[in-house]
Amino acid sequence: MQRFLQAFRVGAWLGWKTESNWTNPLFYILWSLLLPMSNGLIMTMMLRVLQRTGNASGADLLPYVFIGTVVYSIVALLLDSMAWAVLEDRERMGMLKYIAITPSSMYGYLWGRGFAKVSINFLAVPLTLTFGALVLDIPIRLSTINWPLLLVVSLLGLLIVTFAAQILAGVTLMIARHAGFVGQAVSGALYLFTGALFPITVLPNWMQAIARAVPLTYWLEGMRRALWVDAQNPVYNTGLNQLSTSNLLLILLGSAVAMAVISIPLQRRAEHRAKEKGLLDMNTAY
Amino acid sequence: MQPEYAIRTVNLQRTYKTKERVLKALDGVDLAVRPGELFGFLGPNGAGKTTTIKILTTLLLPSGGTAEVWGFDVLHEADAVRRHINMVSGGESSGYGLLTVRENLWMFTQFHGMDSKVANKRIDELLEVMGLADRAKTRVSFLSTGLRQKMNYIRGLLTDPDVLFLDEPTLGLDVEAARTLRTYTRHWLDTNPGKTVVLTTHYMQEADELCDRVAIISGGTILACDTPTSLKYSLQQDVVFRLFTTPVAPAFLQAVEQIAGVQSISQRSGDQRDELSLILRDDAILPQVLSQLANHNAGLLSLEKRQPTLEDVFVNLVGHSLSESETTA
Repeated sequence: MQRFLQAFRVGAWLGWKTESNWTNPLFYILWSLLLPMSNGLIMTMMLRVLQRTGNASGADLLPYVFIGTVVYSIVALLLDSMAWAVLEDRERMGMLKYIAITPSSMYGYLWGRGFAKVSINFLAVPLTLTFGALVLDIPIRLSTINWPLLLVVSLLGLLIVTFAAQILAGVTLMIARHAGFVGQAVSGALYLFTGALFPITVLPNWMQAIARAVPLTYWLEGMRRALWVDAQNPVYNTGLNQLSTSNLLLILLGSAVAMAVISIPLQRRAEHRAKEKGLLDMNTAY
Repeated sequence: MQPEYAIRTVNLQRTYKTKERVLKALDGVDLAVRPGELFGFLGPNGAGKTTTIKILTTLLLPSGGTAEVWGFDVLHEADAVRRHINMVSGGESSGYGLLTVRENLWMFTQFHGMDSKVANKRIDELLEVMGLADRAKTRVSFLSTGLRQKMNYIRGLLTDPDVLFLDEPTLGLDVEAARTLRTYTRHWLDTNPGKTVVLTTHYMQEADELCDRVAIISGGTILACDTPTSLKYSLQQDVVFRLFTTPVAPAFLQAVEQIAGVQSISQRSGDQRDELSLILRDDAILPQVLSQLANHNAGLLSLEKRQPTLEDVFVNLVGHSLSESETTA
């Protein structure tokens, strides 16, 4: 555990240095804000157009879409963070081999890199939600937020995504740099299946089945319930309205445990395989 | 506690499999390096030097045989091995460009769990020794390749490893920087009894000057392993000549190799002239070689009889010079 924490601390420190260092702080804050904000705005405009042309159900899905999109921005960042750290350290910096031969924990280091990336960008989430509440009239009010639920759901969700990111880092250890799109590809694919953009009920049945098997679907639902008092209103037909919050929490907890059980041996296996094939210091020069 | 061997390998093997072929990078390497030794691996690209180092530093799994570093098995006790080693590779521009030299170095001390105060003190000392003190706050991206390599070298020494692996550490360095690095390596060993250095190099002179023992490796096999003096002494009964000639054709080399008593001949082509290293059983064979030179319409520019070098030992064992091996590789 001590080795893990030590490596986590160094990974977080390095992540902070490299992630926040490429521009001046003002531009960095602007960039962090504009990215999720512009995503939210695009979705809002699309939704408004659809509602005007009469193709929507009639219910105002704006809060659903807005919260889903903003929260999902963290998923995309975190999912890609560890895989990116592997590629960057191994092929751009040429340093992964030097880290691998130290007695520290590779997992701890990668978790630290992921933590740095998320914490640097995390501020954008509450700021964008505030922007939504003030400018787009999204019904998020400080007095109606379920803070304990928000805390628990956030933690469980972040754990689930972190373990998923660890799996992707393991996959990345075994592939060359030109295939470094794994994190982005997975987060892009999950965007469709997690109900970030639209209720999963609009999907064909077989896709709904996939969506219900993805833990992130429940995370986004939990975040909506914590932030938006009307999230469980049956009028939205999100496909998860009937699920009680306690059951939702149980699913999230079970998913976090399952992801841990799957990802830790998978990452170990990937590291072993990378050592077997001599990939820890691979430089594909793409 | 100091183990009997800093490094011990028995029948170490490594195979790389691709769709097209199976390549044996190491074919039964046996090594026994004692604590306190500066042990050199000499061989061309693809000989198996770096593969051996990768296995010993736990970056690569062996396909067969066993390897122990500081008494710990690299396969089953990798974490224990890592507590005793460090490595510096040459010829690369690694390092986190956005960090300063000090930050880069400090970061690695933290991976090894060093106390920050102790780490910073040691960083200062080594920066001073390597002439990088004034660059401590410089971003790594602003350093030249040579300075980066010096920083890398410091990183290798910072954790005071029991076994330090130097993989072509002077590759791409200017003469002065290479000398500083070699001198300090020797000094570090002399002032830290029991510390061990494993060095891979292309440079014969570096191996000759620095190493207590040298293993000549080619095609994944160790062909000879001894002190540089003993290796050279093994050629004492032979005679070594260096000839400068007008350019010679491959047919000449083949013809010379057919002469009884010719141990080896290697060629280094230069501008308008060739340098030939010739190892003969006896002085008396030389006229036959010169006669072949004339038969192949090549002129002799100069001829020198000299003491055997490690290069001669290499040529005698491998059949061609290091530079020829690299051209082939």
